[in-house]
Amino acid sequence: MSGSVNSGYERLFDIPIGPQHPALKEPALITLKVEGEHVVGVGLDVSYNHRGIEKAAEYRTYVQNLYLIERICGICNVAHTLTFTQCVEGVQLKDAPERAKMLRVLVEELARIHSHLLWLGVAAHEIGFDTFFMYIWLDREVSLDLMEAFTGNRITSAYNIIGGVRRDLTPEITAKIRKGMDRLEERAKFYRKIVETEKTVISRTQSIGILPPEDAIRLSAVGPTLRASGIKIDARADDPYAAHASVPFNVITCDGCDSFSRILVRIDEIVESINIIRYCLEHLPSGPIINRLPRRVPAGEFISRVEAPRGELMHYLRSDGSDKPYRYKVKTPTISNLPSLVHMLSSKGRYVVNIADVPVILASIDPCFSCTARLEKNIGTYGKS
Amino acid sequence: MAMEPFLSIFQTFIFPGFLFFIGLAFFFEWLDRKFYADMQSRVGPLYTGPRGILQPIADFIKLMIKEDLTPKYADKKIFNSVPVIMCALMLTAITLMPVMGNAGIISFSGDIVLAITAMTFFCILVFLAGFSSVSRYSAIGAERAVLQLLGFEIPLMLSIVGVCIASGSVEIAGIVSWQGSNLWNIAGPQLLGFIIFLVAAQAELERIPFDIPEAEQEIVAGWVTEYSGRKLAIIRLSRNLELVFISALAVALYLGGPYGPLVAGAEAFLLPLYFVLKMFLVLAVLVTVRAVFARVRIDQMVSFAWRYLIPLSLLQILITVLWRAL
Amino acid sequence: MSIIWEAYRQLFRPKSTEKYPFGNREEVSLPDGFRGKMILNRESCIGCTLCEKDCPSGAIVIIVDAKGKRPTFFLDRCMFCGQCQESCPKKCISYSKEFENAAYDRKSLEVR
Ligand code: SF4
Ligand code: SF4
Repeated sequence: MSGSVNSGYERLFDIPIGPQHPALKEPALITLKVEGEHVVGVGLDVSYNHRGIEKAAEYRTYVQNLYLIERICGICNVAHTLTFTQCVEGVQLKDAPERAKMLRVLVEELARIHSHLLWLGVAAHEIGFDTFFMYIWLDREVSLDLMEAFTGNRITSAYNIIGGVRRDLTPEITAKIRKGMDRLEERAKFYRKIVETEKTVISRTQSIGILPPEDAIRLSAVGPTLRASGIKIDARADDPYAAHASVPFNVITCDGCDSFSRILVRIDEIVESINIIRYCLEHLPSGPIINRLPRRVPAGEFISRVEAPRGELMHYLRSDGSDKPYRYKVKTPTISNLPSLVHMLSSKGRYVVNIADVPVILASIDPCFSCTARLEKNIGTYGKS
Repeated sequence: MAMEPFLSIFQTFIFPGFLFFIGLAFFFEWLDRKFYADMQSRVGPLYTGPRGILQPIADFIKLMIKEDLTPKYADKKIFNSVPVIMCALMLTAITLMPVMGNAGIISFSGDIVLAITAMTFFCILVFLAGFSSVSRYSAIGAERAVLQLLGFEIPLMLSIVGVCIASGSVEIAGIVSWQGSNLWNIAGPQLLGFIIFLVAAQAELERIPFDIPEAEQEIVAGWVTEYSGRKLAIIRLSRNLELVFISALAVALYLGGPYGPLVAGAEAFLLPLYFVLKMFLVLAVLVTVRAVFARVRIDQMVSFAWRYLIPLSLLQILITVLWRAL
Repeated sequence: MSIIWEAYRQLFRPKSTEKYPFGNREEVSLPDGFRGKMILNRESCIGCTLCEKDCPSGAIVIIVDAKGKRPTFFLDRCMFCGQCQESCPKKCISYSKEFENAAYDRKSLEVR
């Protein structure tokens, strides 16, 4: 052997996952201390993609900020603009018209479907099930095409604007959405069947990444991660915003507390979103779609929360009477889920995490690191060496 | 008589020798990719040659002219020699395959042992490749390759032992000629053995659900992580050769070798044709398996092999012995 | 295992891949209301510069020509958010379906 190789047999060594790694779609660093295949320590660094959006928001007018905020996250852009517009409307003590509220719910759920399908595909890819991944992403095109036809763009929709929404629903689009929903519902049921019957999927996800309800509450998990631990918390039901108060829906929960139940929760949420969209199309009130608001916002502060596809999203706005925010603060769902992630990645007692489980657990919280990078910190039981 | 050396050189190097098998290896890669893509509603390779058939060759040439890096702390001797040995090993083993008749270019009593050894030795080379790279991902990949070897090697051997018992021969030529005069092995009690062989082959070839040593999402590319350029091209070629080798072995052992309905006078043409067609059949099964499963974990793989595959292959040997006795 | 039937069915179906850009360029269909390269109606523009003030990415620059103030759009900075259309009091900005907006030269990405 060449001289530089350490001849002593080291039992423990570090495996870096990231900042660039095939399992990650965004830069983040997960340092795993492993003993053979077993993970014995984990460190997490998510601050690779700090973009200074909160500061940038202070230099832009509210109208311009809408598009800046939209770009915090590509996938949940609808949730971000919805929260932002609610903040601005809230400080002015005004409200969007009823029709606009219903349309906001419609687009939000459309975005949820496409986000959950994206996640499902990524999860299938993480366990090496590429055929399933291809099918899911093909069906995701259905929801993206609807988004494009309705809002004018596939991903960054620019649909919610301060005081209302940008476009009205036309009968052709309504028919298109109805058709798309039928197709997606059929496919979502097919996916559920595959996930429930495919042995390799079950063996890779069941009892992996266990998060008991007590820990989920203690570590303040949010969204599907929390609901898969059997806890019924959903901002749409608990603190109804937009038209959610008048739209009936079930909060999906699952008692499995593992990655498998997180898959099931998300598939069921797709079906639930389809039902919400159908309800919205049926019960769309008539009236204007926008309530023009002044550009200057009176001094005040407002917190708004929205159930984004990944969990509860919170925005805080403090205004000082000018046309620019005085302070803007964003708390994305992933940051709330990071402590739970570290908890799930750490082996304790009989709960052993293998290297092969790490991508699965990581994917199971549906992380979105670039919208999270607002802090410079190492989390975890094991820091940078 | 003067033609004899020419013929043997022709057979060794052109047909059905190295050139034929290397060409077949590229063709198999294309077929594999195309079929896999078809199942996923994609198009696969498309632009290089008709329907993208030249894509694997283009990839090979591209890798050949790429920069070739050797990690600073790698054990250079092992690291550099592994790809070449891999390729040579597979080319040697592949000459045992009876494409033209009962026997391959090389044939001797007990050559089936050489075939098994080649497969095991391939895994050892994988381990050496990963270990000499001195990269964390490669080390884990190498470790996984060896663990996997512990799982699939015994069922693989036992299923081949079943074939040998059924045909009463430890020579590939003997097995093939036995199948020519009797039933194909797959039609007898060897069906179970065939299934076990294919499952173990999937692990040997490191394909989903057993692509654990190079699980992309977990350890980047596993033991191949540090390879690039020419060496990677050779490694990819030898893995395609391995795919050809294993499908050919399956055909020789279970599907009656090159035999099929023959027309007098056209044997020289029909025998290789049948052989290759049967190989496509095996490949189709292998690709289907690759498409419909998720990757399992290494501990699941090993316990699956020991809990189900090994008892089943012992059972299969028992059945074969009883069947022979009757 | 139910995915195996789906996989075999896909073998006999037309493939989903769109062969863009080498295949049929015309087959790429875009819905109405797609926001592509914008079109400015210079006749009805009154030069109020509202669009420039609201553009979040600074893609609009006001130039003064014979007719007065008129906006110029620099597509390399534009993110097709649609705010300029929204802000224009005369509704003289509209979007075409032209989405192939890549070029070697910034000059060719100006819309006047
Ligand atoms: S579409 Fe948006 S970014 Fe583009 S010019 Fe108009 S306002 Fe600016
Ligand atoms: S807002 Fe409309 S009218 Fe005003 S300058 Fe821009 S394009 Fe012209």
